[in-house]
Amino acid sequence: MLIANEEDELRDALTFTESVIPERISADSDIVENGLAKLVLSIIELVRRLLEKQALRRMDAGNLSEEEIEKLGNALMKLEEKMDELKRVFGLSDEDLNMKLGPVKTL
Amino acid sequence: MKSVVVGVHLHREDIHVDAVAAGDLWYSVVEVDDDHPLADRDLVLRVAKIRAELLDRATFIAVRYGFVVGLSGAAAPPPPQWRTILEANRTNVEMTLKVASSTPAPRPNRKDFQSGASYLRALHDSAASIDDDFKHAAEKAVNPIESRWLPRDNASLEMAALIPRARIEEVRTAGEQLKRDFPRVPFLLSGPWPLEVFANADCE
Amino acid sequence: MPDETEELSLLETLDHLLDRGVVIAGEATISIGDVDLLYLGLNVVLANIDALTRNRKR
Repeated sequence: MLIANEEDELRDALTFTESVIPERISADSDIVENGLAKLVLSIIELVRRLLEKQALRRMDAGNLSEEEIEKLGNALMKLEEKMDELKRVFGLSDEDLNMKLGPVKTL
Repeated sequence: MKSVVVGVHLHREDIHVDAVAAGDLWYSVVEVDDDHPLADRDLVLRVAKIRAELLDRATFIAVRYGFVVGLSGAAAPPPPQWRTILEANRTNVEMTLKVASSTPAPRPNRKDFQSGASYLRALHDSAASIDDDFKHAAEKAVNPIESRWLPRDNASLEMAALIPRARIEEVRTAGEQLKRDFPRVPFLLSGPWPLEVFANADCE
Repeated sequence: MPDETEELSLLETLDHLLDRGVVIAGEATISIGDVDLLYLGLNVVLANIDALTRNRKR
């Protein structure tokens, strides 16, 4: 069952995990490198998102010490930094990595 | 062949697909060829369909997609609290309400922060919040046995709710009413789902 | 529009399948394709993060 309100705005605001499913990697060597880069970056981004989500939930619950907050915050900053660097190196944008809600292939 | 694990179940007869014993519980599994990639869209869709069919029969604990058990016939015994959770929620299901914030705060820029703690705090503060009015109305509409509001990101959050199976239609009706009462609030009410959020015995 | 709702429904279903669920212990069969190895690796990483951030009960 799904009841949805203001679908257009919903689609803009919500990010779904689906968009991070890597596509099948081609055997074509030109595409492989790019394909692998996309895959790796998608994975890092997924990890980063998960880490952030968990960190914020624990903060909400008041379950983190000052030290842990500092450590997690730094880890997140470093991950973001790395992602930016890698995106630059491979010339990939957020759109390339399907980071945002993209068009869904029909069944 | 490898077996993709779908859920954790109390009884063998709750499962209409293949099952693997795990301690005194059961894993429902979908068998695929060894070299079949798990990230294959068709497989993912197939498993999603099977999950729905399984949920029709009985409540179970959802297993994160991607876990595979070998052909040895049995899997390691799962944590004991899962049995407790399954028994306690025999007639319950989960519902999910995702809400988009009407005024999403811009995501803080990490370059503006010197310390990890200040950045994490800023991220926390920019998390989406929604009107108490809607929050209360949503809880009232769903009227759950238990609910948890979980942050998602700076643009949305969600409520996970545990409800008795028998009330699914009632919740659907209440959801339609919520849509009418709050025409400007973008939200999504979905379900029923197997135990996901409430399968974690300790607080998230 | 029915099509858009269907799409949303599909995304929501996949989100539940891919972003939730308990982590199980036990054998993981590593299979052959590149995509699978990495994908399974991702799930192992996710499992570790789950364990890391959840295991705070003192």
